[in-house]
Amino acid sequence: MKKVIGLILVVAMLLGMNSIIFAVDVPSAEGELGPTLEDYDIEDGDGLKLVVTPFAKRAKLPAELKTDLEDAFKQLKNASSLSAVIPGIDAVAAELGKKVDDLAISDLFDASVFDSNDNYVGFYGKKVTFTLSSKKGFASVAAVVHFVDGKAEVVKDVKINGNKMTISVDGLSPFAIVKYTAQDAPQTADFNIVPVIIAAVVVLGGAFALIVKTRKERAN
Amino acid sequence: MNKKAIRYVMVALAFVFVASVALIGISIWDARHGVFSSRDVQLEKTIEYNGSSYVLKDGIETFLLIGLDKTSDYEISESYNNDSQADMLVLFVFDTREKTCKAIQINRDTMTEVNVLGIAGNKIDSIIEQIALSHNYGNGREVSCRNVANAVSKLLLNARVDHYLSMTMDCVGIINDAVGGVEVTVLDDFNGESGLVKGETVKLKADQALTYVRGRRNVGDGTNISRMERQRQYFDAVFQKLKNKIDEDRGFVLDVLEDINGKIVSDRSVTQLEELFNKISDYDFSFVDIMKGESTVGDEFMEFYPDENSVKELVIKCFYNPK
Repeated sequence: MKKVIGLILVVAMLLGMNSIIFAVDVPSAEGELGPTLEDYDIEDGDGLKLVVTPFAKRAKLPAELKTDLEDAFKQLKNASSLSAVIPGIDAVAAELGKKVDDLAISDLFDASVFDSNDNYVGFYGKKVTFTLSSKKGFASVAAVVHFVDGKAEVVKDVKINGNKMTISVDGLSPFAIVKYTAQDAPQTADFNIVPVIIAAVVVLGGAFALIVKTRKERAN
Repeated sequence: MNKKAIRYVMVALAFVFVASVALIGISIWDARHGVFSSRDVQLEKTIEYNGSSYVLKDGIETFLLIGLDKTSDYEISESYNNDSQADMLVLFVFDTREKTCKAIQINRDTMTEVNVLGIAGNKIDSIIEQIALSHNYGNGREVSCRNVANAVSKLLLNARVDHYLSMTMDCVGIINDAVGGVEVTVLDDFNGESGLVKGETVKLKADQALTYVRGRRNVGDGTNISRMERQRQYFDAVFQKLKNKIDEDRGFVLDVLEDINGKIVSDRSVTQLEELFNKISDYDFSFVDIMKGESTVGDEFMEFYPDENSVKELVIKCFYNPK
């Protein structure tokens, strides 16, 4: 019995000493470029598959999908406000008790249907349901948007369950995830100098106009 | 008012008008591109620790060196995120009065608050994750570097990060060979890789240098801590050789910077970097103690949780004087 216990203790000690060796096989953390596709269902989709490609990896997409993604990116990035590019986003914000300025686009990706030979099948107008996961989770997701004929639309059928999100659409990509920003996220500097500058410009412009008017009166 | 005076006033007003419009434009551009806080924060003026009081030093300048896990031929597509990570992080703290440079080495697996950026480059949230991943957010260049600087600043109790420079892996070999090779006594068992044998003193060539500072899995005990020890050893050796080279030739730094120009991202121009490196070549250089903490295996990856007291001690050592 003592020998068995001794043997067990030796094995335990060896395992403890070797635990550092187990650490050798632990990889270093890697980031994610976008949500990960977990599952999908394609209506009448025998022999078809759904592929999700984050914006950063768009180079491997067929040319038309890459162009659609880049057009969507330009629209969203250059928008002065999300209201200008996403109809209905004001209502989404209001429902959440937020302002549109509290919302921001966190992710942009393509989700398209390919055949078993990895050929893009073109626009797929039937229902596609897919589930995504993300290490950052989806707790602060306000809406999911997809682009139809180059115009953004809020997706109605979105369900969030923990760090998984299920989306159902007729007509696919590109997709953007809208999140509400953290409360201390600075969107502008704490002191907004813009109104001060505008006021200064108005005053100076007025002074300039007065001087010109005075000159004309004297000339007359 | 005579005509000449009126003309002068009109010219002055026109100038002020144009300047104001430019300021408005810059302000709007800056607001759209987000605010990066690591240059606007400041440590507390005084700090208490273990019954002693310390006061913030004057004349401190900081410089963050970010070593990326990619080579320069890796194509970065224009995007709001990227898959380059900050695999090596060293914050150099220059005391311009004492003419010293203290280096704080930061474990890439340090779990700390990292800003999550949206597609417009603005902060939309923050999460606790490995500090190496802070570079994933942003365009892979200056936006990402500033995000790393923010994370480092938060980790170090809001120490200001004045400047940054990120470099790809292939810079190691270029710098190594530029200084004529770097001699080290090999600290770990590389299993015969690159001719590196534990205990032997070897003058590293370009590819050996990269293997020596980068190797982790299947090297020694496979931990990042051991890798950091090798990086410190290598840095010490490189710094000495750099100083000697700069003493011999004041144009040396510019030559090296021109060789690595396409492989670095910095908020400083080449000329400004040359001035900085030439200035600090006369400084006494040392690494402060490695940050203490606990390494654990998370759900998938290594996680390092720094000890709060250890962080405070490092910050005090670099930024404060006893009261």
